[in-house]
Amino acid sequence: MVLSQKKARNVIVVSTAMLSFISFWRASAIVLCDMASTVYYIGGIAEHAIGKAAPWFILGVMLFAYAVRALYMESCSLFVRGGVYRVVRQAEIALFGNRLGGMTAKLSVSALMFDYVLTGPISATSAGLYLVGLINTLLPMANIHAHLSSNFFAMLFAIGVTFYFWWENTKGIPESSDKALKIMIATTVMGVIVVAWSLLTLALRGFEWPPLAPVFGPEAWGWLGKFKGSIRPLGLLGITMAFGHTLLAMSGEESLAQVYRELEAPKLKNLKRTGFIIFLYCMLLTSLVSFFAVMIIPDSVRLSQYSDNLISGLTMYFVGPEGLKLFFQAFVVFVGFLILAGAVNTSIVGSNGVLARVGEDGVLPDFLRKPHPQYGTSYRLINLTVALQVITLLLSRGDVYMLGEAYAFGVIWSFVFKAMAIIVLRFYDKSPREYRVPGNIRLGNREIPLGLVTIFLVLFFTACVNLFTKQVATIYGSIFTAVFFTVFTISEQINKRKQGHVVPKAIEGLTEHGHVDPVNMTRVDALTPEACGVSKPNRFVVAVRDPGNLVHLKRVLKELHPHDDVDAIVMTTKVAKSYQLEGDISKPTEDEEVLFTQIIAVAEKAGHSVIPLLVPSNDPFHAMAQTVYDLGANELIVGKSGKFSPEIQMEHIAIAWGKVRPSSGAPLRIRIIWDTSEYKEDIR
Amino acid sequence: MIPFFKSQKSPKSLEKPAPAPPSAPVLRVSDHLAEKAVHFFSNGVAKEDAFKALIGSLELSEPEKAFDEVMARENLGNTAIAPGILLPHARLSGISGVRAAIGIALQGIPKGGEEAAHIIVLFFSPLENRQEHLAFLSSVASLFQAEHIQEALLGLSSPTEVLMKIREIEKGA
Repeated sequence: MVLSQKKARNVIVVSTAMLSFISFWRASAIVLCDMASTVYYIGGIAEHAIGKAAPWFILGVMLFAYAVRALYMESCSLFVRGGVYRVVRQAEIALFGNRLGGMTAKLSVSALMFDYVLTGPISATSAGLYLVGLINTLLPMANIHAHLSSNFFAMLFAIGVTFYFWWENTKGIPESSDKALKIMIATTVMGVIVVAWSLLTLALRGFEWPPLAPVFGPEAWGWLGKFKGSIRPLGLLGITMAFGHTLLAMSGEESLAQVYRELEAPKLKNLKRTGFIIFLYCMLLTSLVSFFAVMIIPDSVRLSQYSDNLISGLTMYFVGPEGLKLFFQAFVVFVGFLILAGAVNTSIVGSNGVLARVGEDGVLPDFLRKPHPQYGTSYRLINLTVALQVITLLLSRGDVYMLGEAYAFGVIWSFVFKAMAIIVLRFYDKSPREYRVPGNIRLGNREIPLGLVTIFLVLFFTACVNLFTKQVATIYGSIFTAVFFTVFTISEQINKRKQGHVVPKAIEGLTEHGHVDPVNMTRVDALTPEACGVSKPNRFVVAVRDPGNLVHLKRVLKELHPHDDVDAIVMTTKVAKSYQLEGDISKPTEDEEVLFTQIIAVAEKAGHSVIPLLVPSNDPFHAMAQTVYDLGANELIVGKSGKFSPEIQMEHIAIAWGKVRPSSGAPLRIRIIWDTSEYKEDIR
Repeated sequence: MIPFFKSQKSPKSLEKPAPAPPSAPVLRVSDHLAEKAVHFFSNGVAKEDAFKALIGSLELSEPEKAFDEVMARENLGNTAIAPGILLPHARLSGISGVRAAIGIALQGIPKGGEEAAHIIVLFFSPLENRQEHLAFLSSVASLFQAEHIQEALLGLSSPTEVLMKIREIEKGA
């Protein structure tokens, strides 16, 4: 029995799972909006801590950042969603099974959350400080004898910017990669002018290289103050202290793992390109600007007047007419506003992603994960992040140095956890990786990951020294981490008691707690290309049913080239009994949620967007044929049936196709794919 | 959920467009039916006897083997394509094209507890040509989507009328 083909069909489009992917240029822009923004504040913070030697250590951190990037590339080659949490969790399971209950992963993500929560405030505060610096420069020129309080103004400004991005993220931001690209173009223009004008200034005025030895400020010693006399600035401990005070220059690396999910195919190759662009950009911009600031701005005013807006100070000491310098300073402030505001957005997006990932493992209360009823975003997670950021802003009162010191805690410890996890997985997870951190030495039949271990040791040693030298970071970072860890642990226990269903563990993309990607279902009454977002000239339909059998979906997505103009429609049939469906068809069943989670995971890994459909019908073959016909597709791909042989499967599809298509004969290619085999036929 | 970034592909023209399926044989059912292959069954005839009669009209070199193949396919699963319409079929070696026969039973042919079949389209296709086999299946399914075709065929009384009706429907579609 079949549904009449003349009735309108209720089709549900899984709207939030309609993935789209971005090029490596856009991915680079997104990450750089976080990383490159540090150029605006790292110089002042670092020099405040370690004196004029700051540029050398910033350069060192930028070079070391390339090694840390390699960590992220290896973790992404293991897991599409290869952020700190996932990698540390897998390493813990490899070493201890479930005995620790995810403790290290929860600790690592708590530290990472501290990083994200502070990224927003430090970026927004820095933007506010640059703006107030410009205003205070312009006011006397306008004969207004007033002076805005820098810190207070910066704090208010930062709160305003944070609220703006809170609302934008609540609505969902479809155009972020476009904006990020434009911001980075403007930043590049600014950077090129700064570098060129600085070189001209140095050529005309001469220069001295900054000293190599750090001179630690009073706050930079932390709890090691009593050992001042015995720590040599260029000794191992002195260098590590200085390195630790400059380390926040490489914050933003975690965004690389977050953005990998969105990267188009070929994923790892594009990730390498992204990593290289980021490295080159940050090394040139961040380190050069910090060198020029020390070499051009006189010592007497650099820290006292411009520590919070170093690039503005730099522009004021270029050679050239005052008016032009002032105009360029305004441009610098404008670009700073854009990129630092972009970093605020990235911090909300990043923390949202991390919390969403953690939530999938049942480590967050369920009520936090509910999507917004109108916009489909995880608005409660966004609210949580923004609330913490606003509290941070109020506590810091616009002190960017305090924020920078605290920020480093989350940055360094999330890197330490990551490096540790990658080392463990090297020994315990022998699955092939497309990329491995270089520096591996073979001793007999054992391979020693010397490169990895070196990176880990540098990070770990620096993190330990920072515990003593950064009092603010250690105190507040530890409290924050402890609070988050407690919340995660309690939520996990509560969720474990509530959860009833058992989900197969061996399915790719699912955690042992059987997480599913929450989706919004949109009901459409007629299956048309417009309603389903199908617009490309070439279209194929992949019919799926069993989340454990998506071989055919993986194969066809792998066959696609990065710029093929093809819509890949992935459909599953919601089987009806007789002519009526029971229950609320706009709510997915548990099995359907599992299936959609798998579809999303496969599409992410392949780096190709798909359009998932849920089609109610009492005849799956009819549903497939009708979907192909209504959406104007010319190819249907199915997996091997457990009930029929491929020959009979083809016959059923051919009969169904005959029923839905007009007698003049629209052609159809049918492919039945399983394991390494395939049946393919064209029918008309 | 992580907000998704919209894909903005660079405006690069396709280097190779996805191929549309190459041309496949357009099969009309009427092209494969002869008048002698149109049967009218009286009340009480069994399904297997109906099959044998239809196979007999096709003048195959090995009708017993053909019957066995059809029954084997029947045992693998129901070949009904719509209420009251049966489409028994098999692929045989040694035939050059589709060979089809149609049986019409006003009173219906019992199918062991299932709804009786009033129209049986039995056909064989060459073992070596799966594409033709699928195309014919599709064509038969398409034919019987025409409105009231079952009633129309059941109201006819000669093979000539049946063939004319089928040709008329296929021509008008």
